[in-house]
Amino acid sequence: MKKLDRRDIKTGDIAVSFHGVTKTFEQWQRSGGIKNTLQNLIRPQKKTIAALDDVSFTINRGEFTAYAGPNGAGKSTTIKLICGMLLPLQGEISVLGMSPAKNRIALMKKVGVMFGNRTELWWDHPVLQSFEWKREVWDIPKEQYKRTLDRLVELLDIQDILHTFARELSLGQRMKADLTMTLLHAPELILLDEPTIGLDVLAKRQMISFLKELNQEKETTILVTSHDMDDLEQMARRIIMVESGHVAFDGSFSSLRAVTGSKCKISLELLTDASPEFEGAALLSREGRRFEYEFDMGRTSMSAVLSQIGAVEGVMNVEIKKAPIEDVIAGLYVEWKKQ
Amino acid sequence: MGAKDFFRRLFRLYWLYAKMDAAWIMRDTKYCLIGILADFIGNLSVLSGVFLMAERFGGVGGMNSDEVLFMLGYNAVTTGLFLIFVNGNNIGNISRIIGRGQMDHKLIQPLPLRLQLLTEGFMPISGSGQLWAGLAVCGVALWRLQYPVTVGWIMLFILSHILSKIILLSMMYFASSLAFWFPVAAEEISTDVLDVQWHLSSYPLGQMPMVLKIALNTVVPIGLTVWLPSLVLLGKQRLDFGLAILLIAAGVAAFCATTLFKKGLKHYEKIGSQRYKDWGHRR
Repeated sequence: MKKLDRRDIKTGDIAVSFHGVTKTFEQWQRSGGIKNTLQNLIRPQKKTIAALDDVSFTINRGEFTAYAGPNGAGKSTTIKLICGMLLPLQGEISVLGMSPAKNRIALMKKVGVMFGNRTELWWDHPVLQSFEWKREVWDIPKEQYKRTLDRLVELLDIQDILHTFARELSLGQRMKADLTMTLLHAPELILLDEPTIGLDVLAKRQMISFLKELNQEKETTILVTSHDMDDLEQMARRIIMVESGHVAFDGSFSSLRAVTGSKCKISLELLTDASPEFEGAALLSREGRRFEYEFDMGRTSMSAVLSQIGAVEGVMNVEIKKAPIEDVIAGLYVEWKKQ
Repeated sequence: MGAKDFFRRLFRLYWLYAKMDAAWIMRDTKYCLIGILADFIGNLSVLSGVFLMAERFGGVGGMNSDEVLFMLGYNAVTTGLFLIFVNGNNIGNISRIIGRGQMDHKLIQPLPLRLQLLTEGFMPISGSGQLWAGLAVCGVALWRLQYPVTVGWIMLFILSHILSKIILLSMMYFASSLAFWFPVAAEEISTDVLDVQWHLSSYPLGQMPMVLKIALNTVVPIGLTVWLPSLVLLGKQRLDFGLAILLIAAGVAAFCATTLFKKGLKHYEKIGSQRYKDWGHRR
């Protein structure tokens, strides 16, 4: 897939820059047989996997960017490279004007990282104790800490859990507390790895609206990864998609729909049992007198389809749905697998 | 980070972890009292085995029963210091952190790793039982031996404990570094080292076969953590010779452990962790 120019994305100072970054890992290869086991004893067989292969991109300050891709595409590796937890094999990485490998300590004062499946909270202490710990370790001035904490407690509505032990929190409460902890030092760049994982609808909605507000009000740069594409579309304006270590797409969500073909679904409720045929649309399913069609807006215009529907007798109801971004991405993943 | 800033952060972090330790043990009166009592009884029972044996046979390994008692007290103080300074949050059992992929949590903190490792395991209240028991046993042994305790001797006692702790920690960090390359197989290796230390260090090595004695003072330098310092402190080994051995051993052990650990950390930064287990992380 061709990469797009990001002319619709505002430019400014660069927060994250990857230039020709390559990161490989080795995987042990075993068949399990006795002969293979003996062979491995003398000469272990290893396969080199390119988590990132000559990857280049930049993220400007104030951008809210989604970073997506199928399992094993290199998403978490990218976050770890940005934090300096991993070093690249080749290429240059600059984060907030610093090299993560050389300036890890200074950088970590300006970056907030949250892994959805891990916690930074102290398990056997009240949530507030974890925040106090963060204040001391990050050396946050008391006044700034108090101001930020008050604001975050109000925005994330966590007043009730401040004195609760971390181990007694529900997942949603734990994620909110973890997010608060991530933001206490007012980071300039926030890296979120699966921040909505396991959250219920309400908690997810609160989390997303809070992050959007933070990005808009404070112009904080946010890079978020998730497998939930609908969440990503709600949060971010730009999406970078990685696949097999390469950037497969970089642009806005609307551009992504345009590139992948804008699939649209139309549901019809008829008075008759016969299913009508429309040029440029395919019948997906039928349930009684309810028929669902799919067509590609890039090939057949909406008005052309609607005029065909207008010609059909006995139409009781028409419902038009844009394909969820999940479907768009799933189609892409299937396409990539085939290649 | 300059030296002044380093020490400022060091003491502030010690204070922070001391407060957290106090809050943890004092979260419930019943829990607190039972915890302290169980700790005290447990510590005394650990010390009693070898002492009773020494009493029965009128001494073990070239030491009389009171000298054995002193050595047991010294061992308890060494263990007590270990518990106070590095037992919290698996800092002593660093192979668990490495093997479970939890080094990531360390690398996102804006602190030098050495400062984190120096402070995060500090638990001066919940971990102090063994130290007090050890000091009491040392006191009783010295009183029974009618040994003259001077200021110089106390300084030597402190110095030898610092050296013992360096040797013990170096052994643990040296072995634990293997977890950078073999995270699953070596996840619990530090526990094994500690077990060897706790089981063997209580025995005087004086009358052991020479091969074993050399091995336990070089390859696995258990003898240098308790037995040799006890001999030096009791005047049964020449001070200059004993101290020189301890200083050299501590230096070599620290150098080997630091070198291997740094090499392992480079490897970790290169390949990352292929596994993550949250068990034990800040619990």
